Amino acid sequence: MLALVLSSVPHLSDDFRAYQLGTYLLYGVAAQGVALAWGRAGFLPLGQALFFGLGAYSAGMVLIASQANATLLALLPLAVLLPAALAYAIARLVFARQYVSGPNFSLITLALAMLAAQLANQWSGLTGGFNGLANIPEIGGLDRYSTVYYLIVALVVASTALLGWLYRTPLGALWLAVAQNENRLQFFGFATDRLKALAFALAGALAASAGALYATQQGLVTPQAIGFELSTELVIWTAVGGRFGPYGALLGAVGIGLLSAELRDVWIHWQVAMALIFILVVLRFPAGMAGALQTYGRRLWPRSWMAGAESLSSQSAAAPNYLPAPPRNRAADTSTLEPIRLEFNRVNVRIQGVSILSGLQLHLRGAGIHCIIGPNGAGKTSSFNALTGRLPLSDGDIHFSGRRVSGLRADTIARMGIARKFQIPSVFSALSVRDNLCIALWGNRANALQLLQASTWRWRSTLWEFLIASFPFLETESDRHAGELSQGQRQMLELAMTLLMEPRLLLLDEPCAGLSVAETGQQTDVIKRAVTLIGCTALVIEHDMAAVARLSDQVHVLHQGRLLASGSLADIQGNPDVQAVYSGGQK
Amino acid sequence: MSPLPHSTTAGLVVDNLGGGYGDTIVLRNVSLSLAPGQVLGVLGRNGVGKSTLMRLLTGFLPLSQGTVHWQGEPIGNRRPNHNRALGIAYAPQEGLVFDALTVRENLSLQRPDWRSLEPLLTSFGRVRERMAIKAGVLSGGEKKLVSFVRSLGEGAALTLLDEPTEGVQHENIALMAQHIRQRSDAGASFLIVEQNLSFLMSVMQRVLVLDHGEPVFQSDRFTRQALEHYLRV
Repeated sequence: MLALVLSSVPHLSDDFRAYQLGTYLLYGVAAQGVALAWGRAGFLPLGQALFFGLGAYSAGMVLIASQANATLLALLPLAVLLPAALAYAIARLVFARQYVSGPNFSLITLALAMLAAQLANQWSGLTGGFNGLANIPEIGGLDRYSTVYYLIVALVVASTALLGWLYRTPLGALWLAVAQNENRLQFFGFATDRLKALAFALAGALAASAGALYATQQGLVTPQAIGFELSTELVIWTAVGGRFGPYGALLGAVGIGLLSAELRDVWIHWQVAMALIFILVVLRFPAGMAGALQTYGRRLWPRSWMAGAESLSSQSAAAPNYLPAPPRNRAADTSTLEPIRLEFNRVNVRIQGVSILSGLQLHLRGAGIHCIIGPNGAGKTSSFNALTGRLPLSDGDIHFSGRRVSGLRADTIARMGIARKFQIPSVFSALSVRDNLCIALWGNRANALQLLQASTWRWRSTLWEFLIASFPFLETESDRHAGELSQGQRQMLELAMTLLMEPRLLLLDEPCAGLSVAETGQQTDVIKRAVTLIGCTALVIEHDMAAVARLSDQVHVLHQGRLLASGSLADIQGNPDVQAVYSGGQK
Repeated sequence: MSPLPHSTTAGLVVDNLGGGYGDTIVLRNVSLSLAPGQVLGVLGRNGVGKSTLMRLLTGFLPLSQGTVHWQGEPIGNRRPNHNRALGIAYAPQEGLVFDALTVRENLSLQRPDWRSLEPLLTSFGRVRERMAIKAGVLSGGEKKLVSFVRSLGEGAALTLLDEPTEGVQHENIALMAQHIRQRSDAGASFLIVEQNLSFLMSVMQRVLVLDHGEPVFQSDRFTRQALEHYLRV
């Protein structure tokens, strides 16, 4: 439909209008990339013109050179591939070992765009300097004032279709999950820096393809096409148009961009009006024009084609033909056949001069549930943090089944078969309950190809059925956003998600916090049965002695960052050293 | 609902309160009164609206129905920043401390009378030990302790505590109960949402049980057995 509407413009209007529209459609494709990075994957690129300009300059140079030697046209794809590779490299470097998105990335991309504009200005031999790279010929005998437009329409349709498809794949859901809770996603074994770099590479490729067509459409590329100003405009168009779907950015670039170009000369106050529109949209319509259209569209016509995007998995759930999820990927752990062995060897952790763990020595062997108890600040959660790559060790080391895990990344450790539930329930708040469960199920299971297949949404496992039978709200509330659940329900949801990974080592940090006595009983039953079903080792931090008694008879007491005692619950309760620091109570 | 049978000038009077998030109404028809020196425990299974009640009473959520009077003044739908001036302290369930500030800074934000904090810091020695480090480094239980010390340190006439004992070791829970009893003996009121029934039994004089967003039981005569019956899954 998009293709039909856009192709009819030259017939309904005139070639000049179509030419002008074409330019803004190209900006729109670059803005779609901004929307992909910002609205989807949650990191804001402030220098997207860098890739637009790189694509434009390199395509321009190839086209000029190809006038003398036509075989050089074969180099044209490089005008897209090189900027995309650069984007990937930048993102990988910036996002490596991060688990919360800060402003660094935005500032670095902004600086790079400014630097590129400087270079383009100075390096006149290559770029034509301030006057630009001129006399770029048209591509393949097309005419820039008439037929190039259809090439642009083809690009717009292709990029919109590509994004529309990607946003519905499991990969599209993972990008949303990165934006909402990157930390959690890493604990499902996903290398989030790669996911973000992939999104940014695609955004770079979109900008560069638009830039390449821009070169042939304009016949001239100046430093304006690579600098700070265009970068900012791309962000504004994306924000006003809407950053969450593939259409918003196009709408913003064409609607606002074209309107500005028309009105800025006619009406002197236009810029002020534009600023007010921008402020209004940001305050009142955070999802932009596209979001507002969707909201009002649904109100007028509830079953319109635009509706139904709330839960990504809802369409797939309507089809009841579920697929058995493949077994957990055990390629990452070479020692599967070895029995589970966890060893903390004289582990020391100091933060800001305070000793958090001091010489923690703890050895666990074989399947079953172990409980960790101890006073507040004894280092219980810190021992989990040290084990999962979230706290750097100042001394000592941690081994899991013969492999040293201290110093590894959280996602690498997760792929070794270690799953963790956090003390404060950590879920993907703006995704549906079912989407949350799906993402957990994909952890350590889905390969790159499967993350692009819609059928992956229909994966289910035996454990999934067990969990739904245990926590019926996971099924009855499956289309609700996880963030709308009560804290206790989020506890249960996150427990379910952690179990779905079917780990070899299960780390549970106060899984019964905030639950009533009866609910605590239910929660501990689920933990016990799931541990038996999976055949894993579980390490559970718990304060409620009734829960400890139900869970396990292997109890470890931590005190002041080291192990104070280990043994059965009765041994522990009879130990005078333990009695001196921790008596333990019940809810 | 009929209007208030009598107007009370002291304490908290909630009449027919309701509210929720956006169009979703989570809580309906809650009426309660809390006299000076009284401790009211709020119980209920997960997702019945206990935390929502706290947010409605502290102005973090708008009321969709009903009124709230505090010491004779209507305080429904005010902004949360007025709480301190009204003498209402609140310790939320999540988002307890400012992670980037030290413990001392966290406790200083309200410009407390440090002498009134002294007994709390003596009880919770762990908080005093951690005074100079960033609150974000603290363990979950330690953050709960800091939040408790901060909210009681306000010396407010009414303190609302949302699951204060979550992740806190037994000894410290007993100390929390002791401080709450001391304050209530001196005339301060408390409204406490808790899952730890043992703790609640040791401090409350009155109980409110919520289910499916509505009160199902409210009395100052209760037994543990009866309350457990309401909480059965």
